[in-house]
Amino acid sequence: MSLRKKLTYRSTLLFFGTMAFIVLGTYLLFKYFTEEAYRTKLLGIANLSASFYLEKDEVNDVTHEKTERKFKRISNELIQIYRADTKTIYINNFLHLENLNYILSQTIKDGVYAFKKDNKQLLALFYKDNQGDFVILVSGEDLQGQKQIILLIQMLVLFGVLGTVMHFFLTKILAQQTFKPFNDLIRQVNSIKGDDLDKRLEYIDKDDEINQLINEFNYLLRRIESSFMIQKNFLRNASHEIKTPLAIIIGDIEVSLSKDRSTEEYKSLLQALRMSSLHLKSVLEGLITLSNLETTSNKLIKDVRIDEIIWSILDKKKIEYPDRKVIINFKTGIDTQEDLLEIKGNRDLLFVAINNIIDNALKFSADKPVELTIDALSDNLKISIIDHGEGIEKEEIEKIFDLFYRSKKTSHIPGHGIGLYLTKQILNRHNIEIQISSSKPGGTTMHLIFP
Amino acid sequence: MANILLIEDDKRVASFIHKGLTEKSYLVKIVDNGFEGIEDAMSYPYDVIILDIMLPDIYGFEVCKILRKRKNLSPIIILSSLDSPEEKVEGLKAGADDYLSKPFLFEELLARIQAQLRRVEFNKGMVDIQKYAGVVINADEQSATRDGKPLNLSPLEYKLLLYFMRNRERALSRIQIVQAVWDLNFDTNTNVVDVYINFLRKKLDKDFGQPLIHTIKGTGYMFKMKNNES
Repeated sequence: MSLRKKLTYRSTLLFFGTMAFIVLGTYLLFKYFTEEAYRTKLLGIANLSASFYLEKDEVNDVTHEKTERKFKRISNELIQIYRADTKTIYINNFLHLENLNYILSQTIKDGVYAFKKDNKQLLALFYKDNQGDFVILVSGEDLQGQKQIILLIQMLVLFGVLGTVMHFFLTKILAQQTFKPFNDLIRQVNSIKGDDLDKRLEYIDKDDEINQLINEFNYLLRRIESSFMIQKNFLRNASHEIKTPLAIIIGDIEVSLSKDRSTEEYKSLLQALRMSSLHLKSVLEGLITLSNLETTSNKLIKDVRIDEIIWSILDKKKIEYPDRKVIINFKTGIDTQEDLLEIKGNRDLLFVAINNIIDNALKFSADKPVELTIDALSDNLKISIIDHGEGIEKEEIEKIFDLFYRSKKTSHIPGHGIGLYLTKQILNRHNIEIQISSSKPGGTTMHLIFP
Repeated sequence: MANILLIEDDKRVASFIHKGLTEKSYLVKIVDNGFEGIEDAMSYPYDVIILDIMLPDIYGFEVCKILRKRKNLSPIIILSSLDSPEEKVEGLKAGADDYLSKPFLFEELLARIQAQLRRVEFNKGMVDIQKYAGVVINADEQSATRDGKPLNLSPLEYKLLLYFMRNRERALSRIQIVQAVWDLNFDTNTNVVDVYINFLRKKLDKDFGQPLIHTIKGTGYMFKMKNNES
């Protein structure tokens, strides 16, 4: 069911309920007051009957005549009079009451007793007279009051039903009006497809919630569009990074197979293939880590020993760069602060981050040794990786952490522009600050300052 | 020569590992599915088992668990191309000793195999060095206690302590220690030794009356009980 219909039906149901409450309340109150009014009338009649029947002997003729005139105007009310002491009938006997005794005693006790029998209303009045005590029982049917009640019910029900029907149609129109912008909105949203994310929703009215919704939706679209663009560029860049070494591998093999070569030539081909394949491997590893970064960085957070990570990185470098040197230097002060070496983090990611820096240092410093110092600042651990390579241009320092950034000057050294970006992302997640100082020539120093 | 069981269904991967290892004069048996691998591993005490995760019949992790359940203690190196940190944890939980993700450098595989062989060799001689001067080594947990109190050592500190236990009551130069414990052909500044000896001293000697690590001026260090001097 659409919201519009839901609103109409529910509102109508609510209206009907409210109406029913009003009708019932009005009916009950009206009935109560009508009966009350008739009781007052019956009391008057009882008093009048007492005067007429019992006080003939006490008043003069003029007064009695007046009473008689009044009495004769009484229409359909019936009057009975009982003696209070003997509880026997004194005047008239047209109504048989089963619980007469009870009624009479109640009347004697309270003075007045009102009750209902069938459609009739009855009222008994205790009357002290010089001829003795009497109970005057008056009964009658409030035909006029009943007529009024029936009329009232008819009117209430009629208008209640008519009102409900009217309410239904009016709400329907209101709902249609209210939800019209939503329908427009749905049409607009439907028209946006995956390939036209540059489209925006048009504003419908001014300053209402729907426009806020449109605003938010457009903002969302903008963000989707930009991340879509990044994704697109990412794929383009990533596939370029993978295709290049593949092209080199295939090309090398094709050319080498085109004629017979010497053993030396085959050997150098295999070495070249090894290089390209390793490059491909590191591109893939970088991309996988990058794609896992969001999901894994919050997992597997443990106490890790930074020095252990460095030792295992160096174990790996020993295999990858068998003839290179890394000089490790623990500065004085760290030996008494072993706890600085322990931080909370994801061991595998920190391994990747620091490995990339050490790897870069080895890669960009030809055959010169790389230095690694571990130092204790006042309260922080500081690890510096120092190479004596060509250094980085000032204007390039900011860019080296960009994804897929490669310096033109180092294009002869295999790389893919993922490593340092990844490093930076991982370090950021661990609140590890990275500082670079570089001089040309002289080399580059990267400082990692741990939280 | 060491016997290696290679459980790997990819013919090309199996063939280059086989070729490489055979040339390094290891004896390699190749099995291309999990169940056969379990059977084979149970029938002969291999020195190292290399286990692929994606096998045609059952997961490598399961193979690993079954072998451990059946009390097969051969070192297991898992090979995987899935490469997620969770997987690595799962592999080690299943009872594997090491984890290597594809693609890998052959030298790296070689280094890991040698490390496992060394460890086994090491544990064989463990009984002699396990206890000394109140220090007890637990090789399975890679941990140590002194006078019953756990020492909470980092992996490198543990290695250093093992080296001392093995070469107790002998004067050891910094160079000797670096070469034996760090096992890097990188130039390690020998102050690294001093730093880690300091770390170790803090945990091993500080809260206990008798120091075990003694500095020998001009030479290096010695690990021994004082009153044992002869």
